[in-house]
Amino acid sequence: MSAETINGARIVLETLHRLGVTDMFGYPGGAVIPIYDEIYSFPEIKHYFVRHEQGAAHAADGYARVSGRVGVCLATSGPGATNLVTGIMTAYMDSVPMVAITGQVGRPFIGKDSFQEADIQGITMPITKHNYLVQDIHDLPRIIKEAYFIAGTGRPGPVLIDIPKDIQTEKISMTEYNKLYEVPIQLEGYDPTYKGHQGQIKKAATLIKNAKRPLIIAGAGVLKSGAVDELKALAETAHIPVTNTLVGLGGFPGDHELALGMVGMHGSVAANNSTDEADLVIAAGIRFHDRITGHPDFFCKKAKIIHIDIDPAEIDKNVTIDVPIVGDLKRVLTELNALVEPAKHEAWLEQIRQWQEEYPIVVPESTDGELHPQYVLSELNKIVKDDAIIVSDVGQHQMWAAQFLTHKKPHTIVTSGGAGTMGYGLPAAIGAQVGAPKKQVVLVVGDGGFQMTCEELMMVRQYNLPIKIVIINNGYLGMVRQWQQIFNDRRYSYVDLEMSPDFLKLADAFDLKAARLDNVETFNKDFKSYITSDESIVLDCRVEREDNVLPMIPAGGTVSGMMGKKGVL
Amino acid sequence: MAKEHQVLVIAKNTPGIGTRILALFNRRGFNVTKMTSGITNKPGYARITLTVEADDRILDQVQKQIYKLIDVVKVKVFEDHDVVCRELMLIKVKATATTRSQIVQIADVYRGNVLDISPTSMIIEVIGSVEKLRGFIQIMETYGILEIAKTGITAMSRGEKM
Repeated sequence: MSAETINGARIVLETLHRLGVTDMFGYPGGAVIPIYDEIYSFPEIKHYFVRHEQGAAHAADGYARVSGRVGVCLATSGPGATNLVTGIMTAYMDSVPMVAITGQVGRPFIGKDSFQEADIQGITMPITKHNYLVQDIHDLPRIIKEAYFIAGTGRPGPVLIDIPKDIQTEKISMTEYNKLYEVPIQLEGYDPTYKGHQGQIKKAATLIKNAKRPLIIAGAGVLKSGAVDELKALAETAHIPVTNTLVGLGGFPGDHELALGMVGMHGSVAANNSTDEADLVIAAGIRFHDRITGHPDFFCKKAKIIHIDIDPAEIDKNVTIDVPIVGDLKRVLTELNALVEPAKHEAWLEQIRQWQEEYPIVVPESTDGELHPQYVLSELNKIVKDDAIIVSDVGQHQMWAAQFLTHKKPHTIVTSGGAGTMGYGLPAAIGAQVGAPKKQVVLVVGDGGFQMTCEELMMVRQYNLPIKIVIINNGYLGMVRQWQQIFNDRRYSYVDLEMSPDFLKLADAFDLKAARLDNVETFNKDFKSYITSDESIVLDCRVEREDNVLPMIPAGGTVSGMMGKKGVL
Repeated sequence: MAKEHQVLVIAKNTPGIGTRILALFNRRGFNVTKMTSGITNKPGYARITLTVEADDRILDQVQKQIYKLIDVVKVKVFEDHDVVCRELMLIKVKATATTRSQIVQIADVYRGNVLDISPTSMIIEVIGSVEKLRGFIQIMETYGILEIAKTGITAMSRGEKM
């Protein structure tokens, strides 16, 4: 009797399974047929069949953001692999843990410009945390383990594994595979710092003790590190207001009395004024993105800055830091909290409350029954459950979703922050629903971005995902139009979509329910029942065409240059 | 103030490690002027010396960003006073029967080796610091330089420690 063998394709699945992977998003093709042949008889991993590889990468990303697990996507060589690129880059920019597996042409064909050959390792080098081209089947178990480990630890990020087709069909004995699998991961050059420097933590505690106007800016690091409770404890003990970055929303309860909402280009006046007036800023798991800082030389000018981040390269990258602490946020905050004494900053909080009262984020009044996008989002906020997952695409609606939803719970926002990838929304919502099957998932998407990836509506139907799709339809690429209005003298060059498909008919073609809400009356009558229903629905919300996202700090600007503080330009 | 620094990188000798490092410099806008790469006494590792033009802030980023590459095991910036730097140069100059012996004499002063002599030219090998090579080039200009090939700087810190 011959010894039991395992081929490369099955090694991929078996190893992922042993690592705990239960779902993957993928699209078949010539160079991954052996893997698909094995998936066919591998019930432990559920494969979701996207309609475009970009959808697979975004879905894996959405899945990872809501579940905290590593998202996995699979595509064939050449165009299949390059179609993943936008999704990989999106995950990279927001530090989302992902393993992308691509088929490659067989080893003898590499470098010959073979059919569907692309150097995906070279292409994705700048947008992955690490990547591999497998050269030997004996390396495969190690590489898959390493990739999964690298993706999910330290500062998370996407890792790509390119696997030549002939390695997928090559066989080794099961005994040998087991032996290779058992070899512990050894990565000499990869050793993330989790424990913060004691002296630095003490320095931070002293700064916090002496601060009169402290502010916490909390980023997605809070969510990734699971430091939500520790952050809340710090804020409450030392009486420090908290503002969140876009992708950090939900890391601090949005309904908390110390919550200031979002900071940055379209952040609240109170949040942005606070950055300007604070004498101490605790930057927790943020990377001082230009959409947060505006002009970096003038950001938090009066403040000493404590920066806690797991990635040492983020320290002093964009803004000079006074007290850097490299480490896992949860661990660092736990240690910091042990040193921080209770305090009160009533005068500072009173000042902030005044800003909040004077400059609330406002919903424009409807004078003639017209539907305002801000109204749609603020109504959505009243309807959705506290732990509902709000997925947004990119543009005006994304900012309104950030502004008008309360974001009470962690892992309830899924949006492309760093990359700003239009078309992200629908596939990410699909991934989010797969990753959190019991939760209510609402996708807020513009009519522009929706048309970029609407082919994935088929998945919504095929897998009966009860996603609510709210299209904020203003017939424009609204954010670009807003910039053109403000900075280009209303020269609306190619932002008027002019023609779009009938979204109701489109939904119908995918066998999905749909409705149009084009005035306040019908909206008020039906919106709630659509959102609270158990079924998916596509809602075409025809909104005011030229509403602007306000307030706004122009790119590279300063808080003093904030426009539209009262909600009008 | 931007100045030249020698940066030592020890990395796993994986395919594409040079590409990973140089592509990183390219996309982050770091300025690398010279790079030497070779193997070391430990099998499986590459030793790379980069000559980088940077101010303190960028130099800090250079080190941290390179270290983020998974295959990179060590990054170190050499202190000016604590490093031995050498570069190897091959220089081809015009040489006739009358100038040949003069050139050889000058090369001797620079501890250069004559590697090739043709009726109209010579190749000289010179090893040394950047300043020494520059000095030799200046003198050779009077005879007529036909070609120069330099290896870039390789460096090692003084004393027992790496």
